[in-house]
Amino acid sequence: MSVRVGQASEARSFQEAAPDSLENSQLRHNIRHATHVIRDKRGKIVGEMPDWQQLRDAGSAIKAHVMRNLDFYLEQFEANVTKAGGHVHWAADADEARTIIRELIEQHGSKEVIKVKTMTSEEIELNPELMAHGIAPYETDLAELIIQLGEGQSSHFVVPALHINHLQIQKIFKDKMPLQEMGISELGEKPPELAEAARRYLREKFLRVKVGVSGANFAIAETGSLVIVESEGNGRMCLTLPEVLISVVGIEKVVPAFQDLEVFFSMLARSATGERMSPYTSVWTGVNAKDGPKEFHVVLLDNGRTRVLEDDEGRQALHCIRCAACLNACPVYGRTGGHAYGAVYAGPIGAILMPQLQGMEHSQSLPYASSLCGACYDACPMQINIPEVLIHLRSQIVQEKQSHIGGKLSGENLAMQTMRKVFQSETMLRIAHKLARIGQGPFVDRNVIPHVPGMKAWTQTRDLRAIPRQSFRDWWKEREKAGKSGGRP
Amino acid sequence: MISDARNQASKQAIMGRIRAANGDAATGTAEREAQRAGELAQIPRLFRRDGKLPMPERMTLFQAILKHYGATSYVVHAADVANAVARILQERQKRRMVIPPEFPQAWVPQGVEVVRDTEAGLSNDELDKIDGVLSGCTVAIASTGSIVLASGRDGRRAISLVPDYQLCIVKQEQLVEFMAEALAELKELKSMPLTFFSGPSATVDIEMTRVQGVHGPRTLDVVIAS
Amino acid sequence: MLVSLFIGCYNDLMFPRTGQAVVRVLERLGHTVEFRSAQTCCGQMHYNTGYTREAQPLLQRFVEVFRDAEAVFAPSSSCVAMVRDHYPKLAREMGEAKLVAEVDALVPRVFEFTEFLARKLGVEDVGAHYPHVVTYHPACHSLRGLQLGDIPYRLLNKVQSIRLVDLPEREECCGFGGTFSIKNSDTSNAMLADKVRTILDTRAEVCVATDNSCLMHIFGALHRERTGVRTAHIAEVLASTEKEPFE
Repeated sequence: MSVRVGQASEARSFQEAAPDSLENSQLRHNIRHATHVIRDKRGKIVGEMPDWQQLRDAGSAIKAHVMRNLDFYLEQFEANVTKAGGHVHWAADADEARTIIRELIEQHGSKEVIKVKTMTSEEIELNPELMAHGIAPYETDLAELIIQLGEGQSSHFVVPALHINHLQIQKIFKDKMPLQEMGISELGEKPPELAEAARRYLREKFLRVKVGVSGANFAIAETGSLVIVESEGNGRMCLTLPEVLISVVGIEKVVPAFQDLEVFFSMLARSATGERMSPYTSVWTGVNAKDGPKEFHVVLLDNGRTRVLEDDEGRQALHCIRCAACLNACPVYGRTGGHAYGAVYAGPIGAILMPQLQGMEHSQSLPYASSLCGACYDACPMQINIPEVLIHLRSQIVQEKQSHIGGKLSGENLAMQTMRKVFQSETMLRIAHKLARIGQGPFVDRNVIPHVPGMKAWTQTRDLRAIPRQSFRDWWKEREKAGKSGGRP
Repeated sequence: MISDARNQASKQAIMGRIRAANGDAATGTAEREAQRAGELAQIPRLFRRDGKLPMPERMTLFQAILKHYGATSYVVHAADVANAVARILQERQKRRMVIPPEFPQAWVPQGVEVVRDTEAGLSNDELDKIDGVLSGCTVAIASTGSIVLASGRDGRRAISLVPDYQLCIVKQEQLVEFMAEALAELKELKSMPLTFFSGPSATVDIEMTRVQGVHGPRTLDVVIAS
Repeated sequence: MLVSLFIGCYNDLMFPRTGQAVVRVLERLGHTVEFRSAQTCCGQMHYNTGYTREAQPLLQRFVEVFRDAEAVFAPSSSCVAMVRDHYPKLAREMGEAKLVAEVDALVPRVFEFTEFLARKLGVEDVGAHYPHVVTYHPACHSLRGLQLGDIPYRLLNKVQSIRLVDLPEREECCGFGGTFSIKNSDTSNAMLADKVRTILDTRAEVCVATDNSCLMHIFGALHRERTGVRTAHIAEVLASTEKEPFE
């Protein structure tokens, strides 16, 4: 098995990539606007639910239960899909998934596919594979279409094009769409006009293309059904009109029973877009002779998920229902956007999922891309304790570093070992205090340290208070000597 | 090439890794089954699952949320449904509507050409050219402003997808308060294709501006028969 | 009541006045404060940066120092969150049943300073006087970790002559995050820029919080930019009286 999640293994570290994003004022403006809008909407719509916490309790319990019994539920799902006339394929990694999907399309003979937005497709990098084999994949989700035509990169997995403004979209459409043929002589810049252009561009594809590719939000073991939650209707088009439907679904998407949707349907749209329900939710099972595709395939994707399952603490990352509430709540993501994470899954969930899926050599800067503020944990409908998993992953990174001599001798490790020793002895602590007070001497200017080499990362932009002449414990000792009544604090 | 053998090998590898991660030998043992069933039963479901809202308030809530989504709703007496539908379609200037095979004759409006979607089914092009779709539904949810259409009862999915206009008739007794209740109502149909509609098609992908109607019916009218 | 002060490593060295302030407040309320000098650090910095093994002896020391204290309080919500949220788990990872039992017994007796006043002592008016325009920044550990809720506001509202101004977007992290402020200094600064902007928008004179870690960070920019706005720990506000201002 060779796990590969998008381009993560070639990406720059977060520390290297973030400064570029932080300087991009268009991105900063758009992402601030988008995350604040959704955050406010989410806050209001969740605020009207007196039983939100009870839903979270049920959701996290169901997911934890599924992970503990994942083999059972996957087999039950497979049996039911097969019973309903569908085919189940098992993909150990991205390579296998790509090959399976491509071969299924080639078997059918179609040179085009219409696609519903799915993170799993990006994860396995399906589009390049298809194109390399003469198959044209058409993204039909408006944001994915914009990114595909503009040859860009998604920056948010619910609102992928949030870093792009309407003028940029207008240009992309003008450059890449056959507007005249579509009956549009002048394409304006207003969102409704842009949406109309997208509608016309895609409609002829929906009515014509014979193979559809999708993911799924949930896979129901009890019935062998898949669920897709969406806003525009492009999902329904791809699920209903083609002759063949191929759905690539992460193995963690499984839920036990149809009735369990009562929990997830009550939380997903509220968390993702601040709506009670998205405009369309589709549930389908295998093949229905009178309705929809004649041939249906599910590709169950591992690609590192079983590795995540091995970690007792880290496995809660598999509970994610991809609502992106954590992204919208995160003060770090909200300023750097998704590109700085260099990963298909960005933001807080990306920071804990990517290192576990891909392995620690890649993505190891991600667990440190957080101030541990906890806003993500508050927002997560599945109660994934992201800060705790971040610390857990940091500890794995540190232990890995310490296992070889280079890491042992790193500045950070030596500093940490020194601090530990100092904190293990009152005497050493007092000495350290004295040394610090002496050491700061040359750098103090009017009670403040504006600059000190070795602490450049801080003093470049922030002043540092000078260490006072007397520590608290010194003051207390003095006070005790003077007898308490004498020393007024 | 992905052969059956390779598929089975991958399946076993994945299953093996799952079991190793969970410290389990295999599925199928009575002990594991009992444990699984026991755990499932322990899952706390203390959220609201039983609606207590009386019908008048339920209807008001339902209509308010539909309005919020940009859908228009009307409340009429059960006996007046066909007339109300005829009036609405005339106002909307819809002259040719597709209806599901199961659509009740009593609801068929005068003055409108209705095309029953038969076994052969209208083609995609025919659906593209028709003025709209007229159907009933299986269940509706007041607290989320949702309407559920089930294939085999409310028409195959394409007829409520390709046309640009949708008029849906909801019988009052089909309106429940909470999602949990609706799913329970759908128990017998859970393996059929189901579509939950919550307002007309929309997107916020362009700078977070909500734009109505990308694909799917851009206009949704709802008639509630009391 | 005899209460045991845990000063916290960074307060000890860099913000001794905060320690003096909490002593003054509690003595004014008629309690006796003890300071067990063997205390050093709760281990938070190591633990949060991933040096879990290194945090273990620091947990052990904390427990040894305070195991028989009636009540422990600290003018630092991040230290208390370390104890409350992470010590039980860390102790269990260390695998000694006796230590686990001691930690479980100690944790309920450890409080953040304002929490101690409001929840343990049931006091909101500590007889303070602070004639300044103040805005309050809720440290993330106080807000989400310890869930102090409106305790700090209730205490500040009872201070004579204070003028409190609401801080816009107050629940946003200031960007300190311990070693995050160094490892990811660019992003940390971007977060700090917004925090400073909202503080300046209040036109307040002083920015107050329960944690000097946040305040150290916020001060770093407020001072660098010569904004003229200063920072103060909430204990220092509460320690201040008309006869003896605590500046």
